[in-house]
Amino acid sequence: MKLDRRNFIGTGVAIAAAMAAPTVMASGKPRVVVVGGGAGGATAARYIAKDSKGAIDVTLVEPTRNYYTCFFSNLYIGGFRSLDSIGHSYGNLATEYGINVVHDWAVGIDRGSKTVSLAGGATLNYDRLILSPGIDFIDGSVDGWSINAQNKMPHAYKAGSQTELLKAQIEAMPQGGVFAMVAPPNPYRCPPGPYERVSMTAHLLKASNPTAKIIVADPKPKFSKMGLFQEGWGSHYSGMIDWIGSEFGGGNVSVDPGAMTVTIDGEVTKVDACNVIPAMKAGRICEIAGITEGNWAPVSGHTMQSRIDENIHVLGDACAQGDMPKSGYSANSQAKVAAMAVRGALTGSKVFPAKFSNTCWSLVDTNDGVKVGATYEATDEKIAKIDGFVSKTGESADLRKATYEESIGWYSGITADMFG
Amino acid sequence: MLKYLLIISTVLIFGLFSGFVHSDEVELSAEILNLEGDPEYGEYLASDCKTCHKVKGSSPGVPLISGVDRKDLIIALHAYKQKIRKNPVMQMMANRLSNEDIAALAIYFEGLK
Repeated sequence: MKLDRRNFIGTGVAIAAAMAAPTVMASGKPRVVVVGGGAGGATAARYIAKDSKGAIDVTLVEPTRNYYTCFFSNLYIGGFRSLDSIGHSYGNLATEYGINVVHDWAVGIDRGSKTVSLAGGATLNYDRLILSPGIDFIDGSVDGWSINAQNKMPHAYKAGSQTELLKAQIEAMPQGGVFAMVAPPNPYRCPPGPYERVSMTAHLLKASNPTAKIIVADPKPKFSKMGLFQEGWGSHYSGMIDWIGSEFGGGNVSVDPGAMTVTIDGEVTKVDACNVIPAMKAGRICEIAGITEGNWAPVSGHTMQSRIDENIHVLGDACAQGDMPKSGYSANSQAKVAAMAVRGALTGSKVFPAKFSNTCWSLVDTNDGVKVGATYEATDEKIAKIDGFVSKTGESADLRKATYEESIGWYSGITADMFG
Repeated sequence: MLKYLLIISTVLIFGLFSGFVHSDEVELSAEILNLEGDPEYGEYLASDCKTCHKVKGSSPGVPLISGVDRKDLIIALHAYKQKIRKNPVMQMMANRLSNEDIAALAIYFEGLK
């Protein structure tokens, strides 16, 4: 008989009662461990706990007690949101949904014995494991930059202190100073994210430092919502932003965090703030679990199960699934399919065909919101796009304002869907 | 027997985010309007809606749909599906919904008082 700490009842009477009925003490319930408490992991944990009504034991492993969403963190840089307004705790998931929230790092996975080991020394058993660790950076992908340089040249692509640091560095730029961004190669988290960040940085500088310049070195020839962003950069921030795409050497870039220089296609520029967004890969725990191929963890779109281990589901940025962009909305959508599949497998609940959707809103300037979205279905090969839309250039100010307001509603909705 | 109901409207103040006023633009048969939805299936489909629509309370830009009258929801979703209502996110979401899907969603959300 195994003693489960959470089922251990702390009074003498209760213990005596439990001893007389050992089945009460042994958990007996199927166990799900979720690693990562972002848009994928928090949603999956909540839906499994909520919909199984206590029939499944859910443990959520997330190192941070206060989780800052990467989505809307650019709006903090632009001054449209406070950092507090994008921070969320796990209190409701524990108290309202009975999820065992463990603030620790998952450092090992034994797929044979179906256990997750934590940095603090504990070991968790699972029947199904859900990995939603987000992204990590590929070492050496930007010449001259390493994670040791992240204070000099922040990535700010995991929200929180990095985002605060980047904003502070932009605000500390001298009048007429230079902000540089090294944009990432595909595929990466939040395709419009770097360009919304450029917009928000320009918005911030326009008010306090209008002669400042923004240089973007990009290894890509084009990017998400390119026409929309470039239209907005021209109308709101004319002459401020110099985007250098791959055709003009934007991919041939190195940085020197000590000297605060950026070299683009041989030309050295002294910069006052620099945002380096390196190439990305699945969160390291996926590599540790041995479920990656290349940089990402391949999954079946029907259930979000790993193609390598059917007892593991991978969600969000970390998985290779097909046509969906790596976004918080996508992770949230995938989490619901995975939660349904996990409940079906562990408790025999009804399973419906997988459906997915995504929309990414971006803010270009005050009340100037744009969006792109699509719906998806699972095929045997991948998650395949069905239908989609994108905002158009030249839209009315009223429509752009409504789009921005819709994004605020979405933020409120998705964070309630994640954290309860 | 198909009896077509013309749904008579209050004025759409702002066609994009008009909430759940009846529209004079969408014609639905009594059969579609009275289709019996499966709330369990509706709950599954509704998980897609809840990314933006909070179960409790509304937010600027995204209306409350919990507890809304079933027929109003059916009309709204068909109006988006037929591209009468203009919000592209909602047009896209409604586009893949069958008449049965819409009935299931409507009965589910009506029950969320």
